This record gives sequence, C-alpha cells and structure tokens, in this order.
Amino acid sequence: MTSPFKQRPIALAVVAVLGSATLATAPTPVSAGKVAGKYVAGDFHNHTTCSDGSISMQKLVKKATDTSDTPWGLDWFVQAGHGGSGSRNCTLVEDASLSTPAYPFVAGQGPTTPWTNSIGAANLKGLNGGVGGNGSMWRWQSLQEFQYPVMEYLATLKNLPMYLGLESVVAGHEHTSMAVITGQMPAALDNAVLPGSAGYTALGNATGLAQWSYCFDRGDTDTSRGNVTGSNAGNNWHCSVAGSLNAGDPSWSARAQKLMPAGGAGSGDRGHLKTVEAVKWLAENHANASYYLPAHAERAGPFNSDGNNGFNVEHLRTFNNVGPKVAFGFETQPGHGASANRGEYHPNRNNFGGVQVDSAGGTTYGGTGVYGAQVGGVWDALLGEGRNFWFFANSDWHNRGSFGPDDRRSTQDFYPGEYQRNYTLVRNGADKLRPQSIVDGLRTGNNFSASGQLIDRLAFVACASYPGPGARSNAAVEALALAAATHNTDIDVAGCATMGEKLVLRPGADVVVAIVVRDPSGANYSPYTFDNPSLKQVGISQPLNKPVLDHIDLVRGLVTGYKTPGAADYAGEWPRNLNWLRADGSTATLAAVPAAAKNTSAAVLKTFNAAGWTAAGNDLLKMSVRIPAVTASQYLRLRGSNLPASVPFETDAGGNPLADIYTNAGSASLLRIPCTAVPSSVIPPGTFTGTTDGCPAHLAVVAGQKYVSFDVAAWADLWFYSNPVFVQVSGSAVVAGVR
Amino acid sequence: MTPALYRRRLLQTGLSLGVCLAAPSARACEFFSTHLRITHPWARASTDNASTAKVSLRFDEVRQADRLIGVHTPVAAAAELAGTGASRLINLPIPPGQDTVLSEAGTHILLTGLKSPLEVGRAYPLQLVFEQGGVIQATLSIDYARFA
Repeated sequence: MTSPFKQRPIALAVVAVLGSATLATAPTPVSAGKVAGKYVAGDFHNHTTCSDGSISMQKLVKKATDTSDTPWGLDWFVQAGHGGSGSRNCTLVEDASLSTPAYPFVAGQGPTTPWTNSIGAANLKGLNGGVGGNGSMWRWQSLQEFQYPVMEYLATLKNLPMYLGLESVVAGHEHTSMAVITGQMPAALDNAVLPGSAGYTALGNATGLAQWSYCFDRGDTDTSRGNVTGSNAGNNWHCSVAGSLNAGDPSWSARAQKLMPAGGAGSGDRGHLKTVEAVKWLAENHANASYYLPAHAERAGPFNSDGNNGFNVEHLRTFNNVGPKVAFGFETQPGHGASANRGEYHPNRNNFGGVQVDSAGGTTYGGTGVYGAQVGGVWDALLGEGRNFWFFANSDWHNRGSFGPDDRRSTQDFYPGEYQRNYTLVRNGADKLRPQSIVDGLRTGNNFSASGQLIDRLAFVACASYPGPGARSNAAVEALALAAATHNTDIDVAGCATMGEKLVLRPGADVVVAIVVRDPSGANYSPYTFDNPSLKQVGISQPLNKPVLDHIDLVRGLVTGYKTPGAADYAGEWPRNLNWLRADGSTATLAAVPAAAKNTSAAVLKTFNAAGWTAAGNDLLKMSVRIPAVTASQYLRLRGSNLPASVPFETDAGGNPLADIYTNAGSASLLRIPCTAVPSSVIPPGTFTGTTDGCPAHLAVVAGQKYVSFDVAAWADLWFYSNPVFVQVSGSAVVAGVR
Repeated sequence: MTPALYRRRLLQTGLSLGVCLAAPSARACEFFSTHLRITHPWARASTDNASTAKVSLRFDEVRQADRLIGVHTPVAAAAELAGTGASRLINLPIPPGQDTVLSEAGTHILLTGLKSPLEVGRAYPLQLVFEQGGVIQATLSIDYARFA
C-alpha cells in the first residue's frame, strides 16, 4: 500500500517555518492569498422515482432550489439516488406545472411510469435488458442516458450549480454518498442555446459516474460492461485499478471485467475489499473530481463480516488512507429527520445472521449519529489523528410519509434545504458556481451543517498570538470573524486558520479563537407556531418556528498522529446494542468504547451563551476565548443548539444530546415529552400549506396524550456542527491530513 | 451449500431487480424480525372508489419457520390473503431457507375497507404480526400511480 504520508513532512516543515516567520514579523493582518469565496448551502443525498423516491427529477430540483414556492432555495444541489437498478422513469414530470420545452408533461404518464411503458423494453440495456428482460434499467444506463441529460438541461435552464451523484449501495457496507463530476456540466453550456421543443441532447456526460456505478456499486450485478443486451456495442467498460490484483483476484469476473465477490460467509470482508478498490479507482481516475462519503454512517450497525452492514472506524480510516482527497468525511447527521425513528436509526434495526443488532448508538442524538454526536467518539478519534475527515448532513429525501409531496407536515422526510443544510465555502472567485468549485469546497472541510435554520452564518477563526509584537488581542480576532460573517465569507489572514485548515505554531503561543454566528430572526420553515414543547418543560416559551440559539460549545481534542493499519488501536466497533443504548434510553460511557473508536482527550473547552457573547448587529453574535501557551497539536470544533443543558429527555447536564429514543414514535413506550398546544382551528383534509398553532393530529398518541414525535421532534431539537480548525505545534504531532 | 448461501447467490445473480430490491436496505424497503427479512411492501395508488388494494412483498433470509398471522394498517379496516388458492384468513406459513414472495399475480395481501385512497409517493404504517417473530412495524410504499 502506498503511504499516505509521502512527501508531507517536508511540505509541512516548510509551512511551519514560513508560518512562524510570518507570525514573528507580521502581527497585523496579511493576506494568506486565498481565492475569494462564500458559504453556499446545498445537499448531496436525495432520491427520485428512479430509485426509491417518490417524485420526478424536475419536481425534486424545483423543491430543492426554488426560492418562492419552497422558500428554502438551496444555492447548489446534487441529485443522488441509489445505485443498482430501477423500474420507473423519473424524467417524466407529474403535471403541466413542471413542464419545460425539452421535457413537457405527457398526459397519462409521470415519474412512476415504468421504463417499459415510456422508452420501451427494447431500449433497456445490459444483463436482463431488452424485451425479454425484467423491465428494470441499470443505474449506469439511467445516469448516462436519462438522468444526466435532464440534470444538465435543468442546470442550464435555471442557471444553477447542480450535478448528478449517487447514493451507492456499498459492497461490504450499507450506503455512501458519492459523485464523479468529470464530464458533467462542461463550460460550453455557458453559451448553449436550449431547445424550444421536446428532446434534449446533452453537451456533457456522466459517463465517469455511470462507469463507477457499473464497476463498484453492490446493487449492480450487470455483467454487460455497459453494453447493449447480448452485444459488444456500448461502453465496454473495465474496472481495473492500477497496482491491484484485478484479474488475479478470486472475485474478478472476466465476463463483467469487475470484482463480483461471492455471497455467504465472509461476504462483508470481500465486499469491503471491493469497496477499497472503488475508492482507489476514484483517486486514480478522478482525483479532484470525485468524493466518497459514507451515508447515515451508523444506521446499519457495526461492520458485519458476513453481510453488508455498517462502517467501523477502521473502514473510515482505510478509505481515507487510500483516497485522502476522495474519502474525506461522512454523513454522520442522517436525513429522514421526521421519521418515526429519527434518521431511521433504531434498536434492532439490523439482522446479523439471525441476531438483531441496533444501529450504532441505537438511535440518533439530537438528529446526529453517535459517531459524530458523542464528544470523544469516532469522529473525534479520526480528528485526533490529524485526518481530513469532515462532518456533513443531508436530507435523504424520499417522501413525506403519510402526507403528499406538497404538504408541509411530514412523518418521514424533509426536502433538501428545508431542515438540514451544508454550508460550504466555495472559492469560485469571479466565476459562477460550478460543480468543480463545489467539490473543491466540500473537500477542504470549510463547511458547517445546521438544522432548522438555527444559524445560517458562521465565522470560526483561530489565530496565533505570540508575546510581544506578535500579539493579537481577542478584539482583533473577533473583528476578523465579524468581517467574514458579515460578508458570508471566511478570513484571509496569515497566522489565522478556519474550518478545514491548520494553524502552525511555535510552542507557547496563545491561540485566540473568535466565533461569529448569525442566528436569523423571524420564522424558519417549520409550519408549527406553538411553543416548543421540549423547552416548555424547562419554562421557556419559544415558538417552534422561531428557534433561538441557546449556546455554543467549543470542543477541543488533542492530535496524536495517524494510527497504523493492523495495530490494536486501528480497529474496533462501537459497543453493540445494550452495551451502548440501554433499555431505559440511557447510554454507556466512553469506557465501553474500544481505544480505536474514541479520543478521550476531546472535551467541551468552553460554552458560550447569552452571558458570554455580544450582539454585533444584523442578528450576528460574536464571542472569543484565548487558549494560553499551547504546546500540543490539537483541533477545535463547535456545536450549538436551541436547547440548553438539562432539558429532560433532550440534553444532559453537560449539554450533550440524549438518545432520540424519547421522541421516536417507533419506541412508543419511551415517548416522554407531551405536546399539549390545542390548535385554534383543525387542519382541514387535503394538502396543508399553512401554519398551525396546535399540536398536529399525526403525532404519536399514548393513552390519549400526544407526544413530541415525527417532524415536531425534529423542529424542537436543533443543532449545528462546525468542522474543525487544526492547530499544529512545532515539535508536537503533525496534522498530516491537512496541508 | 447452506440455504443461506444459496439465497445470497440467488440475490447476486439478478433476482434482486425490483425498485426497492435494487436498493437493499433503503428507506422503507427492509424490515427485520429475528427470523426473517421483510422486503419492500408496496401497492399501487388506489382509485377514488376502490375499497381494496393489493400489497406485494417478499420474505427472505428466513432462518426459522414462521407464520404471518396478522396485518394491520390505519388506512384499511382489515386485511386478508387473496390470490391463487388463498383462504382469506391471514395465516401464511413462511418456510425456512427459501423466499416467500407475495405478488399481485399470485398470492398477496388484500387490504379491505380502504378508509381513503392510497396516494402515490406516500408511505403508510404497516404492522405485520408473526407467530414466532412478534409484531414488526413496517411501511407500505405506494410506488405506482393509477395510470402506470
């Protein structure tokens, strides 16, 4: 295996010297030479009827990006459904309101119309395609020939930065959000003239993405090499990876020209090895034009050697080792926020050889999986190595459960942008936003995620301060952060760093941390105007649709360097079932977690709240802290919530989110927070598009009492998470994952 | 060859090509008891005056024999077994080591006394009761529009 550390120590040493020299001589702000950028909101995991979603490509794009009908209007959008195959044509619109010249509404057809009834069975390619096939289209064909053209057309028509990705069904694991943007949205589209009548021929292509889907998605059991059924005409793909066994691997299929590991005992191990090849292939062929980010990372439980279940910390490490520019994070805050089991994480969700196994952590914690939500857990373990491993959140949109797609209530999912958002610093300079600048932004880790519009701006800055002429005041660093947040951008000052970056110091320097957030006033996208029942428990009256940031925790952990593959502290699963989440909803402590999966140095260093921050106008709040005389490499990250510490069944005395089992309708016997607001008028039958001042009828009811559950539970319990700022102290551990 | 291996190989070799089976363990696709997996309960949208709806699904990875003895959903008054040779009463043996497939064309679950039309794109609660495996909370996906 190639060492991921090659050449880095030299580069780091140079950076260290330059950084120190600059700081010693230039205490006043000096540009670090960054290309101008801004934070833009997006989502990269969601579904249409081409996989198991419920609406068309066009309707999903409209819902995600519209700024009037659905006012959340994301800045960028990636449509990414499952790999494998599907029987329905998601490029057919639901009604005339979604018609475009190239893709008009066809009476009698819609996004649930099968491919066989729209393009015809004869046009289905690959194994089991054609008129004698089973009526399903392989995702590779769907991406390459149908979904990409409509995405390119919509991106051009609406002049929006959008592209196609995939929620891959992963060999050896569950799912991963990924993309290959090579070929997508070429610059030629800037001057393209779109057709005025039905039919569109794309200028670009999603062939790279389609090939990866054929080669590496577990759901793709096609052996055609991307060809016409029973023919050699077509893509004739092969899936070999330079330096790998390929045809020498026992799992290699000569016919398919790809790895097709056998099922049965050991299938998880074999599948994982295929997935490692999948990451290598991305790094080899699309180094700057792809990403691979495990989705709802905890949902399918721990890794299972004999099945396709979860990801343990060692798998995340291995992906990041073989593809550091590709596998740079995970979706540890899942979508499905309004589900009966938030995020669809729940006890006994999975079956390992006849034994029921919980999602890792049992449930989500304030909507975030245990890997990211537990201070000192898996995410902190990865950051504690100095890895570039970032936190992301997505909607995982499928449907609205018992309600229609235009209803504001949900017992299942939120639309992209409606509840969760990734805010990513995209350095597009004077150019418009393009897929490449978005992927580059995701890769840098200069990103924060927020639910329920708790905050919509964040400047998180750490600056070095040396005694004497190199000193920086807290006020000076606050001023930098305030300027950045005011302009929705980051800082560009030598001797300072922000999310995804590292600050290189000589031992003994102070680190001055400044934070500016915008807690937007007014209503968010919740349709509920009654008081937050969770906060009501502690005597706070606050409308559910007008959340207020209660506090921000500054979390610090030490960096001690990369773990060695094969070493005892490289691998270890999160405690399973009752060994973590007990029957009463309480949890074990990090003492139960193996060394590989924790970083016990991580802790809340400081909590800011109204007593510790200052209003800076325009809904901005500023705050700072000085960490004196730093001698060890470390990282700093933020989380914040609308909930104070010690809100029963929501947060513990330390402000940590409790297991969401107390608000999951799927665990009705543990529902604990009554919802008592009586609506002034009953919501009439049909699609609900307004607001209501009372607890809605769809909440879980136990013994005649409505309880906080479904979408109300999500709107009641809001969090944001920043990515880390690393601090590398000369002579201490190297933060090798960040340049 | 053990039955488990055989079943996995079957899945690998292309039987898993439906909408949801193409996306194993996606939302609303897979539910587990200790004895078996329930994959992708689905129905078509119902017309305004329809009082019944056909539910298809698959039981696989069946490790121990079980029996489906009840189906409940808030959208229908009752449920029965229907199709070839079915005897209305929900009492369906699920033998180990093989897949049991309920489909529109063969034996299926018939929801009766629909309380409102089933709308495409929605997912309704579906409670399946097993003799051995107990009560499993699943969801019923409405995957195809009326005209599809």
